[in-house]
Amino acid sequence: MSLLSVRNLQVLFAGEHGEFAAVDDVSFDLAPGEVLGIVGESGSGKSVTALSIMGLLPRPPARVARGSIVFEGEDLLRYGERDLRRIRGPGIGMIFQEPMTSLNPVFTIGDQLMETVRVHERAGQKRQRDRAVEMLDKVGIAGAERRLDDYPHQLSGGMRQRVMIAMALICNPRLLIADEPTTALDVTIQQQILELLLDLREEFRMAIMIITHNMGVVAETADRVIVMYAGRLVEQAPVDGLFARPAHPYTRGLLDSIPKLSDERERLKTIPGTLPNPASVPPGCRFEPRCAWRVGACAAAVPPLAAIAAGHDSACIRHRELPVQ
Amino acid sequence: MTELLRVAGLTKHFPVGQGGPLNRGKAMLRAVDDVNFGVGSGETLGLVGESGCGKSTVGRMLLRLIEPTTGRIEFEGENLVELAPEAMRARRRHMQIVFQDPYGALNPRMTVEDIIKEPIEIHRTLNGRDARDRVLELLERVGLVAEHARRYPHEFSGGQRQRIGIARALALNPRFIVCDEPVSALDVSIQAQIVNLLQDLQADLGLTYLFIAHDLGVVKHISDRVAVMYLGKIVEIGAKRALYAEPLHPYTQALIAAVPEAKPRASRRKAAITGEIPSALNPPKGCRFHTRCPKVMPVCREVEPRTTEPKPGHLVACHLYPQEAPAPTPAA
Amino acid sequence: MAEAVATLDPQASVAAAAPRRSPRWATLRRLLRHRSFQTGLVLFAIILVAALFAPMITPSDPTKLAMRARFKPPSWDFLFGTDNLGRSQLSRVVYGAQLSLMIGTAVVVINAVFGTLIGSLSGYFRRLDNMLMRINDAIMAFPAILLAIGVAAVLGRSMPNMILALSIVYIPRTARIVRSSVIVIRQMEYVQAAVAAGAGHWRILRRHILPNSMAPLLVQLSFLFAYAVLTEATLSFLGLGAEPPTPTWGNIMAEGRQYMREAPWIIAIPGAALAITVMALNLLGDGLRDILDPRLRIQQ
Repeated sequence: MSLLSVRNLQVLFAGEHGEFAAVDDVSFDLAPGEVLGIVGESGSGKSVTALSIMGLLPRPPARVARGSIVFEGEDLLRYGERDLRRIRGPGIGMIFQEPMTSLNPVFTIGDQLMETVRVHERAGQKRQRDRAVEMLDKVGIAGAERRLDDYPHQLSGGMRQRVMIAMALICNPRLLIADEPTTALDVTIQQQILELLLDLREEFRMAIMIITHNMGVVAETADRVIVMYAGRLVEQAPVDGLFARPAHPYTRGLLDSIPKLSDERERLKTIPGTLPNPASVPPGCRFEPRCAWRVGACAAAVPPLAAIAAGHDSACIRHRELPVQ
Repeated sequence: MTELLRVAGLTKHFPVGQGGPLNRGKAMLRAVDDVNFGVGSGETLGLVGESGCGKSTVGRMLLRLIEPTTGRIEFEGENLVELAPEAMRARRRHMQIVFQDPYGALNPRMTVEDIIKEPIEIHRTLNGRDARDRVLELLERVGLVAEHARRYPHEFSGGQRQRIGIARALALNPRFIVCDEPVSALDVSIQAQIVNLLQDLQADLGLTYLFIAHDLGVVKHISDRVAVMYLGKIVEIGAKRALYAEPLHPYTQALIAAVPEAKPRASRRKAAITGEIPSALNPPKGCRFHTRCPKVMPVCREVEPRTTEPKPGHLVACHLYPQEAPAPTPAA
Repeated sequence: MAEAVATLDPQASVAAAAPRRSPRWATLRRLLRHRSFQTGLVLFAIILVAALFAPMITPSDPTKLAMRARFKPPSWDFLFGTDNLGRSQLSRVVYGAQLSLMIGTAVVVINAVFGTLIGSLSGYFRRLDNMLMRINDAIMAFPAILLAIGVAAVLGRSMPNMILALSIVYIPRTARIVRSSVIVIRQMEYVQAAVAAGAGHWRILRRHILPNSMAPLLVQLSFLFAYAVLTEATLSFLGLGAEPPTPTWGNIMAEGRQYMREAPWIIAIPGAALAITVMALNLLGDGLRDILDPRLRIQQ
């Protein structure tokens, strides 16, 4: 049974020229303990998807128009704010891109960690403190006992992200949503944080949903990957299958446009054009205007997700014709 | 290859401490410390490093957007640091900069035409119709069209804005361009377009680039030679292939190993270096990398390593390599 | 999160739909659609029109006495009633509006000029900053109203002196606001790009820094207009404004105070006019702040 099951999710945003769908008809599942990568560029809807799961969409201008988000058998979209608060923390934890603004600058990190414990369980001062120290220790902060009294500004970016992870995990969530957790960090620190996340997954037996624009991060962490483009899910596959045989022209374009350390190409392949304006997306396949493989039918109707291998789906009507790489 | 630019002993120390007149100059942020390198005419020198290593400060000092504390910047044989403001302003025709943030780099209240035309107006290289024709030519050069000239920056996507910034940098036919993280803020699919554009312009116009970035993949792709900075110092500099294939400095090795590759489980390996970057306010004694270095030796904690040249054209500042023979300092 | 904000950016959607629209025009359109800006604009326009066309809409000279018609409550003959000397309240309040708006306008214009000058010099040439801002701080250390009273008392009672007093009080505050936005804009990369292109100080200030620092100034000036009108009325009320019988709202209210019981309309009507003017200006300021302040705009 899946831990999280998103079905036909559609999220609309009010814009100057009426509503537009930031996420459109997105469905996917997440098994307990699995690491799911969601990749996409800006405007792909990956962050909006995450915020919908957490019930943290800014309303207005956003609203969930259709779909269901079933977490452990319960549809979160039917939950009120009170019930959602019960889920956030022990059910689903979340960490964000910017560890600087995610911590309150006027409280010590100890205060903030203990506060999180207090919200979800009855525990004495002593026990709260012990939990906080234990968690800081687990996320690799040396001298945890002393660090409790530090304020966020006394920590480096990597340290703050560790504290955020400690806060998200202190209630033992079954699912951790990590929204661009390493984008603001340097590459040597990024490596440490990704490694920490994978270690903690083993220890806490939780599932992780890692949202990123970086194909490298996905390759190194995820079991399964979803690729999103302009609000739609265009491909999903086990990580090996996705990188071995990307079955959507967008996924291929994305992989080809990254300069790799190992390649010796003179020129990078590019995806021509730019992302569609969210207020006026193409009626058929949203990638059609930029696609080298487009045919008449692509613009006519939204291409359905077609299975091409076990667990590997592509929303391209010509996926069979794409050459093997 | 003739050298277009030569930097020697370039240093920038920022005084920190809250601005009041009574407590000024308590501490010094040693953002850039004794940096030396040269850039050959027509080549691209990549400058990589993590945040706070001073790479952007170096780029801006070359154009004297930030005044160096000490050091020489020789551009076509002339020391820019000694120039009076008026004379420096005239030299700026030949050296330009492209910025990281495509949103902050364009004045939101000016049309694209006015933005690109501004350098031409300042230096009065062209007038009236000629200036306008030049703008249209530049727009086309960077992959935009004439009708974009009358629009405002907010009507463009990030990649298009970066193209406008590049057109502005090209307006005066410069010989040298500092590219300060020009693709870092862009989406992956747009990055490649801009990188290709910069390469095409270099080939067609004979430009010389200093390409500053934190993305090692992009730097490798575009550069001829690469310099690696850590805490205000250049720790290694060498030809691209040699540096990536056989990095000499432990920091360069760690940096390359840390890049997540788009190959599943190619390298789910343990982090090569631990710990955080120390503060430039109080950099470690001896080698600045010794606090995180996996190959640290006692001498590293005490003595600052000299820059040596273990292989021709490949310079490194590390005690792992014989310290006797200092790198030949090029004649000033 | 960055992604969500990017999708929400209202300008992003404007981009494709309506090309070649200057940002200024787009801002104006948004302002005119803003509820409190609309309300403020309508109220202010009514007062402005009344003041501009005062001779045409008032029944009589505001200083004309009519001893037989003293203390008349509002009626069809005397729309706003008459005062203790039988002068038409309507005339007096409308001419009072003329004076208030004149003083407000003068103070706003002087502030816009000198506040911008001092603020931008201070924010751009950091060497001048310390000196200019210490003088600023010294002036700002006095409570506004006390300083205005002091200056008005020293200079004597007259319209120009009142304007001077209010300007001395408010210029430092305006300068501070301009300075802080200049400091922010000065760091922008487009300013760096202009320096790199060889632009001089004057060009950078005029083309890049000032046009982009005007938003907070505009917001401040609309509130300043309200303060100036209010402070002028206070000073007149305290007997430090223009000499009676000049019909300023403060003067009328000061006279009406003695008859508050018998003829409450004498004090209430100029009071209401003052309150409406101040409210209209505050609503305008709120609208400007909502639309021009980018931090609030993203949240909308």
